[in-house]
Amino acid sequence: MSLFAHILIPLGFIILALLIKKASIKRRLAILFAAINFLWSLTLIPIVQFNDIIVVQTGGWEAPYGISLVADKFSVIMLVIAAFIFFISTVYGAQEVDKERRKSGHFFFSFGVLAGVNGSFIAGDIFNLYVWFEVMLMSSFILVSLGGERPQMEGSIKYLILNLISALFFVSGVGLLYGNLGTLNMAHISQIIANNKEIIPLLNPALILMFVSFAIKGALVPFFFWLPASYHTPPPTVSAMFAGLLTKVGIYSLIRFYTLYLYHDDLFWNKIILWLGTASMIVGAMAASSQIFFRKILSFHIISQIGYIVIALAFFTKASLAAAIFFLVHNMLSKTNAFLVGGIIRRQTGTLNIKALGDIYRQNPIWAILFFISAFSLAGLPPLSGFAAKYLVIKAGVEADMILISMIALFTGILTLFSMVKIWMEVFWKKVPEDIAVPLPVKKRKEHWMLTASIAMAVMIIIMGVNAQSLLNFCNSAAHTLLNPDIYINAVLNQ
Amino acid sequence: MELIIAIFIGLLFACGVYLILRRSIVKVILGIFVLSNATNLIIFLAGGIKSEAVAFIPDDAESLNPELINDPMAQVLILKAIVIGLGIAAYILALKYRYFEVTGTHDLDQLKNTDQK
Amino acid sequence: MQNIILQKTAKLILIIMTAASLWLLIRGHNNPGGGFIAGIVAATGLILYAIVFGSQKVEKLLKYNTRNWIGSGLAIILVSIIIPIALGEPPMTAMWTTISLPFSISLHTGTPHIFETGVYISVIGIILSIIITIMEVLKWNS
Repeated sequence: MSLFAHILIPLGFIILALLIKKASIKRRLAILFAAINFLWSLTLIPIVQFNDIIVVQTGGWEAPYGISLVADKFSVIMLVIAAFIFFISTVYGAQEVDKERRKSGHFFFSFGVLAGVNGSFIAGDIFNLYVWFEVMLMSSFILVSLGGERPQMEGSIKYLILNLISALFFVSGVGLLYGNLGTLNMAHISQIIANNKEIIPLLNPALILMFVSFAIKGALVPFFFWLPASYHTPPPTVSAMFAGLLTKVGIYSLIRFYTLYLYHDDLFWNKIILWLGTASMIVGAMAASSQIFFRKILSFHIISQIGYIVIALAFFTKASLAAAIFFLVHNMLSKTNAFLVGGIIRRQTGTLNIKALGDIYRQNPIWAILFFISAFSLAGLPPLSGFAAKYLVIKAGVEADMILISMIALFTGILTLFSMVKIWMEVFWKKVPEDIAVPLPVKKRKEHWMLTASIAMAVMIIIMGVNAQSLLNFCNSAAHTLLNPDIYINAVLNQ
Repeated sequence: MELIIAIFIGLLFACGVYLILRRSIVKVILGIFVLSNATNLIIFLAGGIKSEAVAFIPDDAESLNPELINDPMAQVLILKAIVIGLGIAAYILALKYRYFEVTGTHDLDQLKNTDQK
Repeated sequence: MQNIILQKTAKLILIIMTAASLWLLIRGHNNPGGGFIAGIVAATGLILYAIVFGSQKVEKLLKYNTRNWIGSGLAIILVSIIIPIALGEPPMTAMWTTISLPFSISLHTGTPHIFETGVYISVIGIILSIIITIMEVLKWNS
């Protein structure tokens, strides 16, 4: 029941949004439901600390036959952070998104995204995971194109076609897997593979299809092209929400699959994941350093950060998995906040071209401080969350005897710092260039809710950086569950 | 029968990939539809097919012969995939319409603006 | 379209399709059929009606707009999910009861029926909203 509410809460808002006409009521309801979702996700933490894994067998059908919803500690931490980000971006979007878009269903579809994200975090069944992916994707397609400006159209066509191909790959993989094993329950498949290790070469075609699908969704290196082409086109609220939630779902599924199935065939999979992760890290950071648009730089950095998580997964020790989860949490928070600050700047100055902007530090020190916190958290400066995250990943790498990869990760940190410093110097520090005329909007618009949302996020980043130990303890026990899939299997199959 | 369907799926995938690589956006969309039907057939084939067998148990059945029952699971999965395909088809055509209104072109090469800036 | 035979046939087909869809809806749980298919059958009849008489006529026939149809369908689904939770079972459990009606008819019904009815209503709403929007945007109502 407690898990199922994470599907019922977004569904409830969607029903109300369909039945109610007035946009102003919908806005309040959206904030209310996002808050309920966040509070409800907090109640899962004590339950999961007490008994490791929550399982709901829907319809009363026992595990391999029915659809089970499963949440271990990793799922719960993702649920909580996703709910927090969604709450913040709803509060922010209540002010930022224009009335036209709100009327044509901005909140409606963002709750669709929430339903998809929540569902994928708790799905215990591969086909169910696919369905939640589709729910999330459909809503996100519409959010990207809502408003219908020309850049949005271009971005959304690329986003749409590449993500549809990834969905087709995934569902073909599901079909092949079902044909081979006759079951779709994730725990049951893992049990079958564990009992009969010779079977995995037979499954590899299906697993490769699924892996490619997750790699497209998570924007790993050869598959990332949709992300920088589309994330800078929609309104800032939407790109902040996507940056925080969507790619992370792909990575979540990759970690889940790796710890349940792929680790059985380590010789084959570990190399692939390790080198794709390394390539993502380098390519993302390097491509970012040549961009001159605020959100585009941040979009490329998403790819780079995904690389850190994936190499931490590929080290595959307890410390490195904990580091991967920690990094995921840190990245969701900091990245979203950087996009949120970008949205405030765009609203007040009308552009995000960093060559045309300038001198914001003197005009509005609050924005500058907010950006400083999130950007230098991404770059990994000590008191902020990014330092602990990068330190943990690199430490785990050195401990796992992957010195070269750890060196590359360190070097990439410098590149990240370079582009963050670039944004800082160009947007906040330098004088406004005189030859480029910035079209300033005539009247100043209100922004107090946007600021509140961004400040809450920044405070969260600082808390996470200063108080890293308690989160790390939780991540460690989550990594313990991930490394021992027997716990998961036994809880789901009720043995 | 499996062989014929397998070859047919291969052909559908080839058509879909060919269409997706075209420059006209209409053809790309058609390619997506062809590919999604090909994947539905993959699930159908992978679930195992039997001739003259249905996927449900009649009301008055006393005993059950597994030879005469098709796997209903694969068909359920296809039904869901088709429903999702319906939603995507509706959305993608609306997007195409709006795209043509905004840009006045069918050419995918006109899409490069967001990548360059 | 001003064609008397087509108009009369469309009305007749609408009635037949609606009746057939209700039959499919009721037999759904144990036999082929169910809310989704029934909804599509009903929507097909309505689409033919829309092609013949124009989309405004269908909107009048539906009484509420399609958003409300989708919304109320989903609300009915939500009810069918919440009933088992309220009774302490896992969500979406099929719970059956037999209601005895006058004239010694007994009705064996349960939450799957509620669920399928919700699916039926929302599928009609979704398909008609797609078709009506297309007809209005492309101006097929002449």
